[in-house]
Amino acid sequence: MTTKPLIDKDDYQTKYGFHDPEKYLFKADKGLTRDVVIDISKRKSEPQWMLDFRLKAYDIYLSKPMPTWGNTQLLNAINFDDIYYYLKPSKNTADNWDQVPTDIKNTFTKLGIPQAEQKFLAGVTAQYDSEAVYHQINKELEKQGVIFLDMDAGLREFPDLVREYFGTVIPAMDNKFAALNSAVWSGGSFVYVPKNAKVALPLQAYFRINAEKAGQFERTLIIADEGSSVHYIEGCTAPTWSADALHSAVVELIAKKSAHIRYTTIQNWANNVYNLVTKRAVAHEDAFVEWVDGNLGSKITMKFPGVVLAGRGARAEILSCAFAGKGQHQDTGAKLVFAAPNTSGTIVSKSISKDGGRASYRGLVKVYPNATDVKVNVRCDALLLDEKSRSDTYPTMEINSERVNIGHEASVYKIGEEQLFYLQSRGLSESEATTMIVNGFFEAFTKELPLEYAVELNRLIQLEMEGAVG
Amino acid sequence: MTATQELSSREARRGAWKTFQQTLEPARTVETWRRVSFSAWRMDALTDGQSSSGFKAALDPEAAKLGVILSSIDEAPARFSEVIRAHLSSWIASPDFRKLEAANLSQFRGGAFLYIPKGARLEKPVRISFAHRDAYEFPRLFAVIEDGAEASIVEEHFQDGASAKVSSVAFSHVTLGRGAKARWFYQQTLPGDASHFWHQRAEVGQDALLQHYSAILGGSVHKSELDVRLSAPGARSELKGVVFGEKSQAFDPHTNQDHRAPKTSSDLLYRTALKDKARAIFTGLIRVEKDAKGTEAYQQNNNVLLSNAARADSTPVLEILTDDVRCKHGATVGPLSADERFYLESRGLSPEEATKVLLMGLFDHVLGQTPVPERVVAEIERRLA
Repeated sequence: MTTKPLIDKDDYQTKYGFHDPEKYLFKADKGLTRDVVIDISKRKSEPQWMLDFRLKAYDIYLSKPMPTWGNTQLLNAINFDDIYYYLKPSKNTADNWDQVPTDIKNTFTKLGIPQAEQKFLAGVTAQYDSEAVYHQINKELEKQGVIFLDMDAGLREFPDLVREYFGTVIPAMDNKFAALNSAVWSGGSFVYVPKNAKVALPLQAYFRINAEKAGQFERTLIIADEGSSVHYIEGCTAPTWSADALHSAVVELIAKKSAHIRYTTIQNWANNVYNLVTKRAVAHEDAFVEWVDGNLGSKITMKFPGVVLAGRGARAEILSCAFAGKGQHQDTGAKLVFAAPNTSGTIVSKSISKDGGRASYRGLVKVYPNATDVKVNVRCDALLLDEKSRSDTYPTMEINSERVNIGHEASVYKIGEEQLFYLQSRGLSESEATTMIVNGFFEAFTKELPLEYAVELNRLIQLEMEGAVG
Repeated sequence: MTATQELSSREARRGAWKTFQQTLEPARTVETWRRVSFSAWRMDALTDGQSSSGFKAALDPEAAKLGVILSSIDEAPARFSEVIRAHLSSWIASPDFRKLEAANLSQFRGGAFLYIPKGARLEKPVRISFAHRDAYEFPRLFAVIEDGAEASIVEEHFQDGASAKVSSVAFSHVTLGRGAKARWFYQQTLPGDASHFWHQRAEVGQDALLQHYSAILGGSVHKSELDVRLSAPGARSELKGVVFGEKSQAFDPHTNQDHRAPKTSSDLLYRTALKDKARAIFTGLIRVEKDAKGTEAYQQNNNVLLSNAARADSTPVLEILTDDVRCKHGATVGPLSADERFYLESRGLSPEEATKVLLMGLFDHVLGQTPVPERVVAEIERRLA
């Protein structure tokens, strides 16, 4: 059976596989040495403590072995000497859209930033390669005392605040890639929400990799002070390139007493990107942290957003969806670490594997002895769209406390013949029916997204599903 | 024993001893050994040709009449030379256990060989007892159950009399022919200071059924892997297990439901209860290979923590390489149900009695259909008392 693709392949290239000619103010040499680290810090005119932090992290990076778990075959294929560790795209960070260089602006136009801003944007920090080129903050937010800057500006303008929290949730020792990021980080977002401030509109940041062999090591730090609430959204689309690119971000969230942080990500990296990200939150007393994490594209993604429930009554929800297409390995999941009494958490994971893609759920639920009356629910659903694809579930539960209630459930299946038959009998083609079922499968995730993100995700899934059947 | 048999057995042993000496012990960075270190099986004092006590078994005369053979591996009749050579000349466990497998292969004494011929239906269970006595014990069991045969086999591991601390490394291997049906009982009631490693590979043939029951109760450290290969269409396995720990016992059972052929099915239920500072680490894999279309596989692991110092880890893993499957797993960790406890106590039971009743119920669901031997009952009751 032949079905006309919903969207032409070439259209996908122009829509998401575009790239602008490279034009960089400064491009460090390929490969990573102590001098590169010092150079990055100098060029950013950073305080001494940050240089020390970077150098220490660099030593840790050198001493840490590569992970011996996960897709070691792909991981060991990374050539760390063939990557640029720092790119500075244009003279200064712009706070006015007119100042943004035209070709960079084109990129963002294709990504739809101005439209998004017109709609309901509260503030924008668009990361074009390694540094933020554009950010604007809503006046209302400034009045509330909310800080929303790119990380470099954050360090310049609020050095004490940054120093107090930077690297406290994810120390450089955490893993090799966190150490690498700590040594060469550049860009990312810095958000501080003061006591009892409620940020009504989501804060948004778009990230992009453009230069061939561009390493992207952004660093995000979000601090929600007591009783405050904030929703941060980050989306990624990257152009298709033949050389392998490495993206290794570190994201730290700190939710203080009774604060609420929701962090939404949708990533759609090009199929050659290594996406190795460390994301973790600390939830203090009665705080509530939510990760909403969508993963499309990339060659391999390893991302396990975590929440450490450190205060009594803290709560966490992690919602994760992954789509693994041809040649892709989505190694994603979630971690919940319970270190205080009366804490609770849920994990919902949805994954789809197609055209020989591999989706793995890898998760951890850990309960420490002092964490009594803990409740955890984990639910993983995986859908396999053809016989070449693969799905794995690797949940780990380490429970060291008696008064807990831990449940984990996972299931793997394919689209049912009856479901397809029912929809086809109502006049849908096989590919339309399949796409509808897939969209339905992801609905638990998409309904948590702001409208235009949900629309975009549905469109991306449609693109990924193109020619799925027949 | 024929000359060729002796020769192949000797060659296998010699090669294995070399491998044992050359293989490094697995580091804690190896995932399989991350939570329970290799040190309990270090065997520093092991020399080639160390003694080991072998096994005890008495075959029912009725079974002997049906052509069933139970002997040591060395003394198996000459017509089994080929299968025994094959059994002794290939590694069965994964490389993570290579050092232990090499130790067993080079050092086992006698070993048990069980043969159940085509179509034989055994009324009484075959009981194979490994009574551990020496500092190092290397039990080995090889069972061939031919097409259409039906049998129950009890593989027991316990300590014989009072003796010094025992460290044991046991390997068990069973093949089920087409349409065969086997009920396998693995029972481990070693004393609280023993360290015990047990590996079993089961190869389940076309339309064959393996019903497997484990009672894991003894030892200061227990580590095991039950590797069930469903290698022909229609093969099915049902794996059930009970782990009941006390004091500072540590249990690390692995299971593997390996679907390698179309239309195979499997089910698993492992239940763990932990007192005091006991610890259990359950790791169960369901793997569905590319060719195993139409597979159904289920897995359930429930852990009951009876003390705040007890610890349960559970890692149920799915690896699915084809799409036409129905696979589900679930795991729970928690105390006994407060509602059920309340119900029983409102009927006049003391909290202790209620605990006992609930735990009995929990285990009964797993082992209730089986003739549970006295040693196992005694151990469970002692823990409940």
